[in-house]
Amino acid sequence: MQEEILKLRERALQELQVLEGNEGLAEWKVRYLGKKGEVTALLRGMGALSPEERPRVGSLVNELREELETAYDQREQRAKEAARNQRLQNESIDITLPGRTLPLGTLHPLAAVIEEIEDIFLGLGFTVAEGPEVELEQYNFEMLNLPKDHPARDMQDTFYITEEMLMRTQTSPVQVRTLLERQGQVPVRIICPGKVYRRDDDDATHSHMFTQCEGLVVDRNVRMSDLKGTLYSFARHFFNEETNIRFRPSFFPFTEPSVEVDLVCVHCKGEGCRICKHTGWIEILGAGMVHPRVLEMAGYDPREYTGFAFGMGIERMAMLKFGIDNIRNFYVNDVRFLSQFKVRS
Amino acid sequence: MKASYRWIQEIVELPEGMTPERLGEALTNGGIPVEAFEKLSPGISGVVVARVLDVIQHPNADKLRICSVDTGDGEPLQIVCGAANVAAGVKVPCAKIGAAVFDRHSGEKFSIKKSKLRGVESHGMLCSADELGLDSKLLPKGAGEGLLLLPEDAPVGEEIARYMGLDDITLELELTPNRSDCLSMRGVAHEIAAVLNIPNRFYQAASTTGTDVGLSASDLKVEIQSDACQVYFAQVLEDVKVGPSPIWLQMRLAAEGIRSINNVVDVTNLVMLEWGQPLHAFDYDQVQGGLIRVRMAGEGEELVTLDGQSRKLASTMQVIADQNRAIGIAGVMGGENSEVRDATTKIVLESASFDPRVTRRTGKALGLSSEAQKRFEKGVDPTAVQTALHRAVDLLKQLAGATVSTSPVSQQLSSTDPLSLSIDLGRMNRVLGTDIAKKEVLSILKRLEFEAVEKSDQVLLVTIPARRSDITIEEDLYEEVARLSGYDQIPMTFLQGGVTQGHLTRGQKIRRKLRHLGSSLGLSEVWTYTLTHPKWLEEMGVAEGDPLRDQVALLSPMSDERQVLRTALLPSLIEVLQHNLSRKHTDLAIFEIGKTYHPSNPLPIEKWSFSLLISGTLSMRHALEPKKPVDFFTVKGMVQTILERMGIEGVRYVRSDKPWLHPGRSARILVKGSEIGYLGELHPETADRWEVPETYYAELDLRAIFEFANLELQVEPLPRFPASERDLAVLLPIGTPIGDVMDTIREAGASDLESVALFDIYQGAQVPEGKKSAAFSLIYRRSDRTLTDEEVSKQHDRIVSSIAEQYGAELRK
Repeated sequence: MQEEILKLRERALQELQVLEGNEGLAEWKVRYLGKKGEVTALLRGMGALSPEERPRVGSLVNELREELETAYDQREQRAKEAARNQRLQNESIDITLPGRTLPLGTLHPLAAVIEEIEDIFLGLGFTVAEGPEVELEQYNFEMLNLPKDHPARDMQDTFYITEEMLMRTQTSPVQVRTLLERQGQVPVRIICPGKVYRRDDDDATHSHMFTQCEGLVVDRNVRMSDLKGTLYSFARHFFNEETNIRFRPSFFPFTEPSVEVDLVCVHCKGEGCRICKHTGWIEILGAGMVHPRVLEMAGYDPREYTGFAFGMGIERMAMLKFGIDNIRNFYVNDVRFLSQFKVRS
Repeated sequence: MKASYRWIQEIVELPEGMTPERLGEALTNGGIPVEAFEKLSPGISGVVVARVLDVIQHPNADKLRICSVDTGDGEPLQIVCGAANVAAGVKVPCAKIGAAVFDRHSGEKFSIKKSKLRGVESHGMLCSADELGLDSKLLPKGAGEGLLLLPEDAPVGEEIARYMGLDDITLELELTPNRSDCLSMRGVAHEIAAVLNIPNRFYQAASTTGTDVGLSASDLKVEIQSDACQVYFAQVLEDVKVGPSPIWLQMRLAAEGIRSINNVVDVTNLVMLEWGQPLHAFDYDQVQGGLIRVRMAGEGEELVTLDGQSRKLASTMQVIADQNRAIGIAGVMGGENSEVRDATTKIVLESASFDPRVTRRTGKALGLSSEAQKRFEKGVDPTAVQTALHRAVDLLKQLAGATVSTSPVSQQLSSTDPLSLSIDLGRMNRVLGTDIAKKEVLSILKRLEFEAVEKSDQVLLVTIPARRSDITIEEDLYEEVARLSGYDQIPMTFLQGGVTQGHLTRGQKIRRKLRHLGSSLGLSEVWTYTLTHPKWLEEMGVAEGDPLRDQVALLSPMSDERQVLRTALLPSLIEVLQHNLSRKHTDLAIFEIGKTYHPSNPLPIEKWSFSLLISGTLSMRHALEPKKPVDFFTVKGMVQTILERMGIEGVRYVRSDKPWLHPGRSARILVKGSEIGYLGELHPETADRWEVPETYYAELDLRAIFEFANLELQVEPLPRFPASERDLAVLLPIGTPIGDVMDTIREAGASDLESVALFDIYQGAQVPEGKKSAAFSLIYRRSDRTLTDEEVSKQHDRIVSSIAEQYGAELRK
């Protein structure tokens, strides 16, 4: 009997050994461990044994059953793993193929720049003012201290619509409109981005339509040093933390004193290069203290209030910031140009 | 204004080590940018003044001559020369062996070597103006042809560069409109002296002997009959010998960009450059009646100006006339009838001050712009009018042998006292944010040669010289002090005063949101021009009389393409499409947040719109899957997404009849009965006309978005009770708009209907002819309890009967 048990054990384990994958596994289980299986048959055959032998053989058979069950479990586990591995292998794909992408929209670079400028000045307590692009001559010129026949009008050749109405040549009339609206209230802290128009032939550096952003502060005790501090703060946020600005005397009819503001050349970092004509500086915007006559015309007493104003070309800011060399790019809207702004959108 | 560095050296005491570049930098920092430095000649060497001693014909060449040339080195040189104007006795520039000059044809620099020309040795080259690197347009007429003939008194052997001042460098001053004082070397001298704090020698360099005293009364009368002339001086000069100017004068003018004409004209130009005062010379014998009359022109009066053009004048223009006729346009251009000619011996020299506005308008109206006009337009210094005349008389005596036997005549209508301004130093420092001491202010005013007296401890009274007419208010003086003490002295401070809250308006926020929404839908934002051509509307099929045809037009456009302000955005986006198609980019998805302009009073109405255009393919895309072209539902989906993001509900789409859209594939977008925009496919014929493929477009009126947008948010509690879902499958007549059916389902009075969604539409087999099958999924729910089956069925039945009644819908079994 004992020998029979040993033989059965050997046979069963060997058969299990040679089985491949799942195949025959269930049959093997039925054959050996099933209710009518061979191990059960052994137990049944124990009736022929002496009462003394029965417990010993019984426990041997039980041991065998346990051993075969464990072997079966392990074998089944292995088969499952193999099947899973096989499945995963079958499902494997080329992960270097390109993904299914969403179309990438972009913000226009001028819009992105304006948003950035707005955000910087919003943080300084400014609000954003807007005004019409078709403007009265009175607001575009007269109230900015540019009377008729003023030679400085030559600086800005104008598209007229009627004798009194024109395409605004600058965003400065929004200053006038804002001051008139505020009726002497202070503080005034605004920026005014918007489109402006001049009679220029379109080429790499000129555009008959372009974009400006004006800034205006009016209050008691506004100083030219505040203008410098404000623009310095702006430049460091807009360009980079290491940059610097300088003031150069200039002339605008609506500011006195007037300044031209230079930025450390973005190309050579001030070393001097062809772009900055070897000066290390590039002009970025015009500014100054609001001309007393402009304040007066808008109903603010220039002995009591002072203010500063500045105006920058958005295209110029964008060109410097993104290294764009042709202003026409902004209005031609070639997708090869626009798509480059995906990281700014 | 061009300023010759040599000239500058004569009129200010430049410090040791100064260079044109350093001077340019100092002027730039002081407020007059200098961006260009031009050399009169790009640089030659080894060329000297030489005399041609003898000329014989070359034995082997018709056009060549063999010259014997004295270059001051003792032994004459043999030089072969092909110029037609070479002759014994002339003085010319001679490039010796090793000299560097320019090739006449290529403009390239080259060096002179000993050579053989047709068998004859040549030890140098006689030079033309081109070969010296000179622009012959700046030399007297004819001087550019053949050899450059030098005056008889030119010293043989002297370096030509030194003799002619060819090493001079011109600084190009970029003057702002207020600094017309620097349209003269006098002003430049004052500016440099102030900026560098050095002595000004202008008045010694340009000194005059003053009026000759004890002369008889003039045989010329001057009458001012116009109030556009403040002062007029005239001097009669006799024995004038009109001829070429000396070389120094020719070259000085050339350095300033002015061509030498003759000694009389050159002197008037030189004095204009010196003093900023334009002068004019008339031929005395042509001034009829010995009378100069300054008057306004008669309407339609004609005058042939010096450039040979016949000009029709208007009564707003000022002329210089004699007894009978106009002989010049005041401050703009002289008349041909009184022009100084070679034979002229007696001249009238004019120095006057003409009204800037009248001069400006006249010049503009006639399309003329001269150096004189440029100065009168900005206003000349009335105190220099007489001095400039004296200076010119002195020079004409020296250079043209002129004599003066009569006193100058003058008429002055008005004179103004010099302006005095107070400057309050405390206020100045408060406005600038600086701490500039009185001592420094006084020193700066001294550098500017402004007289200052102390009115009190902190207040100065400053007299402004007439040459600085740009300084009219106290703040102008702040600028003078600030710029000369250095703008870099102004510190950086932060704004004081109350804290203010920076914020965007609702309109600005909505535009920002739309911009980001557009780009997140896969659209690229574009910016296009406002100015356009009216033909676009015609091509769109916009009817005559449609409000869109009412466009704001420019008075004088620069081109036909840009003559009116746009009333529609579609053409702008089509232009972008066309541009990109022409570069083979057929997939385009763009949007613009732009304005259209509509006539109104007092100003046009400027309307913001959001428009989007798509063409080609645009979807989530994989390399191995077929591309899916955009269609009506792509554009409609975008519009729906946008409106949903704006919190706009109750949107209806009804068929549109816009002529530029496909009638079967376009819709007006309605909210609460008002049209907020439209969308659809471009009409195939319109697309053909514009040569674009199938294209979809949508436009939303931002005023309506602004009105209907609801960006406030009130969070609803999550449902606590389960929903009941019912499907509804119906047969509908084939033309029934599904959107309408869904609206009806929503409005049928099923109060617990939470949502309805379409999940199938089918027509064909198993559906009767003329019908389509539609299936909807309806969700019912109450927030306070679970609905019973009967409750749901009751509401569901109401919906079924509602659509049965309205559309003849039959339930599918």
